[in-house]
Amino acid sequence: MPPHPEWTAAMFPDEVWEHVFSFLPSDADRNVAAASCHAWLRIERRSRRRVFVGNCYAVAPAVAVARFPEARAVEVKGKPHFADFDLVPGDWGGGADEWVAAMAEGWPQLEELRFKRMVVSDDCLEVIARSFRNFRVLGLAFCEGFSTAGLAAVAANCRNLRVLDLQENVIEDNCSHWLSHFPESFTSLVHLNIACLPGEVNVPVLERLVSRCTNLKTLKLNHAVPLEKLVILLRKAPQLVDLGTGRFSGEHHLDLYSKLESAFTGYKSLKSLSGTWEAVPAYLPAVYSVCEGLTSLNLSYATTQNPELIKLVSRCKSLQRLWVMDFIEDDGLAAVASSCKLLQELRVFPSDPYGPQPVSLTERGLVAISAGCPMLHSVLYFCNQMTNAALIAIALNRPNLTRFRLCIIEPQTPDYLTLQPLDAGFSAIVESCKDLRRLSVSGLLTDRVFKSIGAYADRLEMLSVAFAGDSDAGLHYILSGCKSLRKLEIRDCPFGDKPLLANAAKLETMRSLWMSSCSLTLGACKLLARKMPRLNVEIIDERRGASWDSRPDDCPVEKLYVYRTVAGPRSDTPSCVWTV
Amino acid sequence: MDMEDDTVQVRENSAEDTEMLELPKDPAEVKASEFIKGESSKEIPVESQQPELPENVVLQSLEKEEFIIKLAVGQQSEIIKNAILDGRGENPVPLLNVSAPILAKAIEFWKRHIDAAEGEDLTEWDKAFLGDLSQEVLFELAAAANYMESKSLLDCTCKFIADIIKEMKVEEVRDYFGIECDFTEEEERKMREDNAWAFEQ
Repeated sequence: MPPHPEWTAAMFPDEVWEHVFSFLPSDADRNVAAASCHAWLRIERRSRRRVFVGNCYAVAPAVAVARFPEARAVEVKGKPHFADFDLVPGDWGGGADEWVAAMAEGWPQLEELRFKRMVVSDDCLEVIARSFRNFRVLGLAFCEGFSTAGLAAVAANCRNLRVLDLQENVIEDNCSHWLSHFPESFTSLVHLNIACLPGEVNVPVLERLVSRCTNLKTLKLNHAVPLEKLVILLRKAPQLVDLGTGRFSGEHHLDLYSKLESAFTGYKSLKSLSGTWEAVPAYLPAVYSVCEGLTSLNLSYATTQNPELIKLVSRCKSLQRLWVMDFIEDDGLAAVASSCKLLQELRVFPSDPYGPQPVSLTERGLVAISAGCPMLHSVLYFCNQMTNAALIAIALNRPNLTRFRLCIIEPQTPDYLTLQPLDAGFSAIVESCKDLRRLSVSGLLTDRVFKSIGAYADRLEMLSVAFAGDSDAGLHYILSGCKSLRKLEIRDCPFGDKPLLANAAKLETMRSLWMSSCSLTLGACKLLARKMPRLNVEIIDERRGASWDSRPDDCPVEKLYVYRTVAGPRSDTPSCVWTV
Repeated sequence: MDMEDDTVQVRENSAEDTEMLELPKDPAEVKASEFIKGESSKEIPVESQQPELPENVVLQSLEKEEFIIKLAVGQQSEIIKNAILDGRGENPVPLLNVSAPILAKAIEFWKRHIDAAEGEDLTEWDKAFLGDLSQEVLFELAAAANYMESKSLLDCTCKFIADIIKEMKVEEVRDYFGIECDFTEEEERKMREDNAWAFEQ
């Protein structure tokens, strides 16, 4: 219903609109408000505190900084997801230097900075350490390019740091005493995640840091902290909510077990537990006292096996999130299905995908979980075999799935009972799970499955496809359907030029497209770039041979990365990248 | 609202203690009179001296219509609270930017929130209360909440308006709020692109 015609939006003072906008949950909503009129644009952009940039090359850093002058928290993402599988050359890009420079210049009040899949140099860390008076949160995930010397600069200069979250980064260890750079007066740390640190940790220094940071809630240690030292640290921080134990093994001492057990008994608030546990069955019962209260258990790097693993997990009756290796096997998942009724997210990782002794983890485990856990909505599952019947059962059991990533390890594996493609199974998933936002398919799949996906997966935002499909039709189904698609990544599929060109306009509605080892040619890429000037069409060629300018149109393109951008072609392309 | 508790207490004490005279406004006067009486009555430190606080507050709308409410109810507006507690003796409190029907609605909101039991969740009541209002009244109420500096009412109305905007398209937002588009076609295209391509999930 429209408002009274005499009342207009102009009757509100700016600060009231600002306050209204502060309750808008998503950037998309804020963007709609900003697009309404000049006044709202001005108000919205001056009051946006949290800025998200999903592709660092979609906008120039200086433009982003100027657009939102009052930003206090920012997250920027770099490399495409397939970089995690070594498909993107190391020097492709995603450098953070220009971003950090622009932020230092235009956002002196910045408090929070998160980078994902970017190349962050020690210089960047030094600039960050010096430039932001109120800096509180530094999060680096899947990044590389820095060392512990850079971390030392952060430790020394960020007086109000609350969060240092280092997740799965590649870090060079050239300053093993970096922890000592936190001054004795520094007490503000709430979250410290150093699980991915390669080198040794000075435990006495860490002890003192933990002792004086009385608000510490998250502590995730790396492999270098042996059990004896862990016990000491645990006693200093009984208020922890999230603990990463590191390797959880060490020299045998007579009373180590009882010390460990009593340390854990003191943990009244622990909700989240993780660690790279290396086959330490004897010590596992020491953590039993915290199991009941755990909502998150991450054993994705732990080599603990059954029956100890089952015994542990079945005690975690409040579990909402479980990340575990396939050592859990079908039996373990059946136990989880009957014990962990609050489970929302399950990830099962492969221990030794191509090894001689496969574990007994099959489609049965996943079906059991889907039947027993009514709140399950997010799945990542690596396994060796699957059937359509199992997928259909999962689809019917769990129509509330929002993320479903199935990775059958051997490419093009059919339904092992019927030897049919898994089209019917995945079709059932997309038809039943109306809120599905992320999907990874695997196994033997024809174009038919893509017809279903294109037609039914209306909310799908991210799709990963490998070794699937028969022809161009497969890609065409995806690009002409999937209304909400934002990210598409494809490898080793027989998809060629035609569907790409026929659906060129679709690419402007998506963040990015990755295609590698498909059937693309240079000519098509050139046509695409000409037709869609606001897309960056990048050909990635690691052989770095003759210039692409001089190659014939039918030259095959091994790797293609296409993304929409308002910044034009990037200026930092390495020799393996050619922007068409 | 600690001050509120104090004031209620002061009121109660004053009511019970019939011998207490109206407190003089000048602290020096107190000391002098005590000295003269020669009594060792309680020292009244200057800082804690408070003017007598009314049990009720009279609010005066734009049209000079008067509303009588309890002190505790009115203290959900900083303007009202400050007017009373600063001892400016402003009773009735003039709220010249707020029309009577809007003020009545604000009072209804504050009353319900004051009467809430400890830990009672009023989200559903708030939604129903605001949902019943016409759009014009809703916006005027938000503007009034801002003017009267009432955080609870401002948060509630603004969140409600934000929920309306949520998931609307730009054209729908303009229609609903009576906003005229003052972008050129080119400006608009560019901005939508910048927004969606660069700054969105």
